[in-house]
Amino acid sequence: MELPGRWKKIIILIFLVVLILISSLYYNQVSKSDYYEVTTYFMNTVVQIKVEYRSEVKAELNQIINILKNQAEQFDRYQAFSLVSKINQAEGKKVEINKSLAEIILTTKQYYYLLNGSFDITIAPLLDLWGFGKDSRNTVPSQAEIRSVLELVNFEQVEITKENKKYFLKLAPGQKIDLGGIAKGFIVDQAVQLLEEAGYQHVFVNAGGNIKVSGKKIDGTSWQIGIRLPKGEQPLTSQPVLKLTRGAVATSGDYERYFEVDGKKYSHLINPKTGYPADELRSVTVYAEQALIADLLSTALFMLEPARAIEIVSKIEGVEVFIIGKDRFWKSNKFDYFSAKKRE
Amino acid sequence: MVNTVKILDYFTFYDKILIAGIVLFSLIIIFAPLGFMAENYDEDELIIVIKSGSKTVKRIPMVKTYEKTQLVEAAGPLGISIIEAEQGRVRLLEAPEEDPQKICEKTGWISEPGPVIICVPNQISIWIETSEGDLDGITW
Repeated sequence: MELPGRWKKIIILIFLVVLILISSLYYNQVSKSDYYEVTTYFMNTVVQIKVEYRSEVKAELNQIINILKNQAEQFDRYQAFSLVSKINQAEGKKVEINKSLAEIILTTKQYYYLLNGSFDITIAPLLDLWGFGKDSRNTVPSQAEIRSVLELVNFEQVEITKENKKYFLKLAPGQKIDLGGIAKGFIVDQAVQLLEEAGYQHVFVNAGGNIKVSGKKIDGTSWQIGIRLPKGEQPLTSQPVLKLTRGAVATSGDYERYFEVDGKKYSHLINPKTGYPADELRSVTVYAEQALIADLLSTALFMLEPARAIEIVSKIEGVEVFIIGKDRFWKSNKFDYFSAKKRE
Repeated sequence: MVNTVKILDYFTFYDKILIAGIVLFSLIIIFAPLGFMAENYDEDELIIVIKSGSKTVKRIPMVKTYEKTQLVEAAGPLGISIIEAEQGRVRLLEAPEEDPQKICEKTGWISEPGPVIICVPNQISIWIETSEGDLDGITW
């Protein structure tokens, strides 16, 4: 039976009304700002946390940020009563440490051997010598000074033990640790874990350029993370953009902290093996599942020849690297897999 | 085909305008947000973001800094920080007296997305971002 023309007209109009309603719902889903974002300051940097909005979000994020700040304080060697200060002041005696720090030390030690010592948390005396400590003045030390301090930079002398379910750390006399190269990464991992445990599904955490995401964005797309290109006379490459729905990315660059003497630049990225700032590369960006690993490797690989860095990365599952040198750049095999596009 | 023609016969000119309008409006609603996501990195679309704590104090389109020097006061826990933006760049001109190190003053000018001027004691941060819907963050 064929419907009369008037009914067809009504059906088409109903169809169009339904279409407009669906479109409106889609619009709300995609374009409404459904995020809640907090910017806070600790670890000497700005920390941004962005998650989907829900009624309890403000209170929950405040609580999580307080936990993170307390943890970060414990890893700060410039906080008088922090755990790391206690370790650094122990002068060869063993100190009880918490599980978080034990995990950091154990992971870092594994990478110390894998990287043949190009990342070493006992670098603190060297950083102080170059004036990269807090409240200190940058100076270029003499070779003799560097040689004498280098004797203290040796992760192999750090002892970590477990007794009756408690962890203890012991440094050699005169040794000091600095967690600056990994603390941000660890805190970012902690932040994402706590947010996931609280049920958030669209998570973005950025601590001074150390970024980790969990889940897609609310609109179903990936998070787009640009890599800063060092300023140069001529750009070597267009800006790479990583497209992520999970994992972390961190960059170490010679532009972050440096000083100049007689026209020569000295960056804070000091090679723990030579005692001098590494000056062959401009920046190293690492993608890894864990922000701690991305943070650690971005610093460590800065000390190495690019070919060696890429060789090491190829042996670690789920890690990719993008290296910018003075006149060229390198990338690991699967780096382009994460790369959304190139931008001029 | 014959049926379609017959159906169209039932619609007046104004019905057809209305239907076309609804379809067009629906399409715009669907595709407009996706349009915002399109990538374009244009100097004209750079925006200076000045934050005090979590609060955005001001967003200044970079193009405005070429017209005249912009001075912005941002209040933090230690006092007022003064930010200066001119000729496509921005810096923290003056940190409060109470800021012991004034590290952010020493950071100098920034002129591109990536670097961030951070004043931890006074909780002021300044960075440059591209237009809304572009990158979510920059690793540096």
